[in-house]
Amino acid sequence: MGYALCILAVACALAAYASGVDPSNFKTCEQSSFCRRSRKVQSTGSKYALIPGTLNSYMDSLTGDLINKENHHLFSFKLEALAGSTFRLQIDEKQPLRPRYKVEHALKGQPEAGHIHVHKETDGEIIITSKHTKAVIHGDPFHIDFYENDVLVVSVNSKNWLYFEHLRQKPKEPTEHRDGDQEDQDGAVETPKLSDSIDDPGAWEENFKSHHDSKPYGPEAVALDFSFPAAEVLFGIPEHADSFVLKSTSGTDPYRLYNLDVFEYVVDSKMALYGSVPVIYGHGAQRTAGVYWQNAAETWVDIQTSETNVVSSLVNFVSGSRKTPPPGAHFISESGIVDAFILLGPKPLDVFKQYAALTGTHELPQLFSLAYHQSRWNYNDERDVTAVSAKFDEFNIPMDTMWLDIEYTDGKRYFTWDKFKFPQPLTMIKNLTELGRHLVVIIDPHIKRDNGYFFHQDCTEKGYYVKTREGNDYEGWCWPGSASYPDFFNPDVRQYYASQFDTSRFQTVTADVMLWNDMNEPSVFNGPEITAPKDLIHYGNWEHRDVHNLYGHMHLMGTFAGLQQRDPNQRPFILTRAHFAGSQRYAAIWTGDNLADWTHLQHSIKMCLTEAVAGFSFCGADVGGFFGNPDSELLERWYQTGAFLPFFRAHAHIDTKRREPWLYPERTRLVIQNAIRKRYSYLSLWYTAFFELEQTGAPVIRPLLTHYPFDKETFGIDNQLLVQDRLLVKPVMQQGVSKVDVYFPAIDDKKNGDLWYDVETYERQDRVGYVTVPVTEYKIPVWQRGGSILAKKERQRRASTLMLHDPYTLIICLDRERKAVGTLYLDDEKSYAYREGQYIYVSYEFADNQLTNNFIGKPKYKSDAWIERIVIAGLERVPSGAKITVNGVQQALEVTRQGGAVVVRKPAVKMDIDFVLTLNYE
Amino acid sequence: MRKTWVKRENIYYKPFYRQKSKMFLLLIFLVGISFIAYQAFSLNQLPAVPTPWNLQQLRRKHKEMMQSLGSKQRDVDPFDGGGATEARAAAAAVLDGSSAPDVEPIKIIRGTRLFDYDAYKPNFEGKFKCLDGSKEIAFNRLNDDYCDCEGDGSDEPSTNACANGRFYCRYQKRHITGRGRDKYVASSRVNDHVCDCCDGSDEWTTHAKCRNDCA
Repeated sequence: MGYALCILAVACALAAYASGVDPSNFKTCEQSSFCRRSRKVQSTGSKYALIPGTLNSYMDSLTGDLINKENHHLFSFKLEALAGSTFRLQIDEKQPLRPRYKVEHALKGQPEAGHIHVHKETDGEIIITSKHTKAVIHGDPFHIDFYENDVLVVSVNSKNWLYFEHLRQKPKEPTEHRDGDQEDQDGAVETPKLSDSIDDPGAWEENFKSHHDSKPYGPEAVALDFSFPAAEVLFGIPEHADSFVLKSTSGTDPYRLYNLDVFEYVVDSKMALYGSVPVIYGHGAQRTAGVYWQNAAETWVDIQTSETNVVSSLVNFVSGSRKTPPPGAHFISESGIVDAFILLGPKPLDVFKQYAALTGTHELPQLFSLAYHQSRWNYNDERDVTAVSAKFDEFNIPMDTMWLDIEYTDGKRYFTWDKFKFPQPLTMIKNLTELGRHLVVIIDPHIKRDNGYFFHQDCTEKGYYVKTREGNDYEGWCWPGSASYPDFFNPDVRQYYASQFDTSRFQTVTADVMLWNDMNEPSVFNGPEITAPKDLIHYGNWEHRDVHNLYGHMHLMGTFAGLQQRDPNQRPFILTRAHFAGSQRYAAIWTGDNLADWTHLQHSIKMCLTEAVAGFSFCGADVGGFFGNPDSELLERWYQTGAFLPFFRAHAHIDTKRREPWLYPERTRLVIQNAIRKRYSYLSLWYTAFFELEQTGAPVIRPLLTHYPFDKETFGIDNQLLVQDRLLVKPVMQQGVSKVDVYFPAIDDKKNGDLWYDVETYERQDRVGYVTVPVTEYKIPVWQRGGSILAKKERQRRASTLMLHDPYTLIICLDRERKAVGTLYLDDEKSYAYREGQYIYVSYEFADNQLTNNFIGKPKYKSDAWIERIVIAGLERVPSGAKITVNGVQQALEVTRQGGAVVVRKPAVKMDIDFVLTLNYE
Repeated sequence: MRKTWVKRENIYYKPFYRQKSKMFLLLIFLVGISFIAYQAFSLNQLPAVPTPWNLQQLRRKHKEMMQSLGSKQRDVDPFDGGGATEARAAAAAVLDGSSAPDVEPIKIIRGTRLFDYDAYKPNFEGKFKCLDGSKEIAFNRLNDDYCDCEGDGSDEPSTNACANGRFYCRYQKRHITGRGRDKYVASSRVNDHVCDCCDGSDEWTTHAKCRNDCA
């Protein structure tokens, strides 16, 4: 029987493999009852109003009651001002039949409260201000306008699409004559009871394919619309394999947010993928604002944008004004409450930071996790792992981490090892760690139902599994065959799971082995839409429907706690596939099971840019593509692209050909080696960027519009990215090209731009607009911004952990005033000692031919590292020499010309020492 | 047809000097002689070396340089020609300067090979020429932990400063006839806390505890 199923599964897989994703496996909005119901409001509108006299104002908030004027159901609303130009709007039923789910664990803590002043309070309109921001609440019809410095940036419910299905008793007898009822409703005056009924056939039960959703609590959808009057484009709401800028959904399905394991997803699609981060941003040249819709149930997002076509632009040109309505988003969730955070900017970086202030950031990762990872499903046995690691040394390709996919386990029982393929895991791990390398192993949330498996026994005995409606342990089908899913919402389950990571229990790994959490959407092969049924019951008696998008997040919380308890002084590294707002505090993400195809390569940047602005800076895609076999050119270009995304891992499906770099022709191997070495040389920049991410919330990789908000051309550019504000990267992502068009953005509306220096030749670009640049197979088109300073490590090692004490090279690119500034952060790259101030954080400043350093905080960390050389690009003349002054002692240094830059030879100053370096022109 | 006979005295013998081919050969021979003579002459005309050859002096200079380097960063290795595993102790002794001077082994710079022994001496101008001939640098920039010979990394044989340099392990396994490949590791492996040479000679500033696996 088991074999038959296996064969069937394989056959299905092969059939699907030929055609890519089968969209009919996943619901459309039309097939989803609540989406259908809520979307209908877009044509009719709704009638909600403030009830006069119910308003209460507090230090930081305003509360009141709302009424649905059609069914007279009461709601309570709360508008709260938070620190940092943010408002929080909550709407819940005043007296729900049973409590409605409010998202927990997504925010990093209680948001810091702000202060409000109520300026005008009439029944029709209330104006409250908080610092530079203002909210104007209109009573009937209820809608709120949010102003930043008196510019209207976000308007809530301006279209009257607020739709809140209150909980209700199931009608006694099923209405069999629906059509008749409907006619009745459309007809004469209704009693409130009748007009309150929801006549959608999916309201109380729903079927999709062969799956039945019992929906015991009936309809409970919430929906609300947001307009961005100051914006021209909308972006955000990952995860979708689509362009960075959101497309209009009129005439198509809305964007869907529902964590799903999509087999061979297609690009340019609004279908749901593995993660859901319901945050959206509206950006215009003057203002940027955002909305975080905190809801963990299935969510659809309708996007209204002014589609720019020839006719409309012509009309606009003639009329000289924007006739089209402002871009807007309509969030539709299946259950829960309205809980929206309005982020008022005003600049892109401000909004991203405001969102990070709510949901947190990834903490500073261990340096090795920013280096190159080598993965495959699967490295077969111990010898394979050791041999691959040795081959990287043989060909002098740096590599930091080897990964083991599911096959290392004993029959997919996590926390165990296959005793035949991996008889001595500790020896294998030691062989890796002795070379400075790490091992990452996979632990998925599905637990094999095997009575001899301790984890299953414990979960069964203690009742730790997710339950069905009837109260039995839910049983699904996944890699191990029949499997159950621990209910990570239960703190006891998380604690039990976390305790398994302790090296006294999981004895076959060391504290240096890090974790990979896959399949945590959760993926259930025989479930509706390859995930768990919505009527499962979680801890606290919540339905899976309410918490679905949080399941992976809770899994991560358990893993993170486990790794921290295992070794409290080592920063955990976790990679996850499913994610929700806030998951970035625990894990890095990758874009899931992509395809060895040029379009997927291009989407790796689009998707990671969207994830980055939604909090997930630590993002990457499987280099080479998960499914399929890349040819050597695609693999080369993919490595070059991956080298400039934060998470850099090669991974492949078990059915693909082996694709370690040395299995390709020599040229490919050298190109890959070159790309990986480039990545390693920039590790200190990535590390500094992640430190600054933790400090400020500013994303590590950024779309061009972040720093060039006035340049409208940048809005749609999602094949280029910025690393902080220092590097501009335009990887080659087309087949067989010898040149690429690169857009150099303008800093204002007068077409002035920054200077950009090619990082290899230091050739200067001072133009704004598209520039065609020739490329060779080795070339990764990257420019450093004039006015920035960054530090590199140019000595190559086999693993990043061995570079700890290696000297730095400072790269100074000057702007038009011949000035530059930049920071560098360093610490022990592994422990939490940096939280106690054990670090060196230094800002370098170059002006008037003089380089100085300023320490931010006291440099407490002791490092053997020193400055090996200083490269300065953009000087008018080549200096005759330089002198460095350290503690009053002067020393002359040699300066030589190298390409378009000059090199100051061996300042040899330690990183924690003050110095002044002056260029001479005698 | 009737045969006609010619009298012996009527046969005309061409004199030697009228035979073209022989004269041509003679000419080549003479040109060759004169060319060799010219070569010999012009060799005498070559400019004399700036300083008189003084082997003693040169050796002393080299030794001084080695000592200064050795005291600075201990990067001079006694070379035992390969095979001897007890060389480490001896090396330590030599560097301490306490061993008897009469059994002084050949000292070579750490990480170089005997083959390049002469290349790591200062040339007549007291400079070091990169092994690929691309550049000449001051001799005190040899092994100063900064890569000057970017082409081949030859100015940093003992350190990890050059991206494409080589570090020749101290232990070189050789056949008695001297055949065998040089044992080396990439410069990036020098002092990276991982033992790469079988004798651990690539870890000479770190305190990595290397086993000796050479036998």
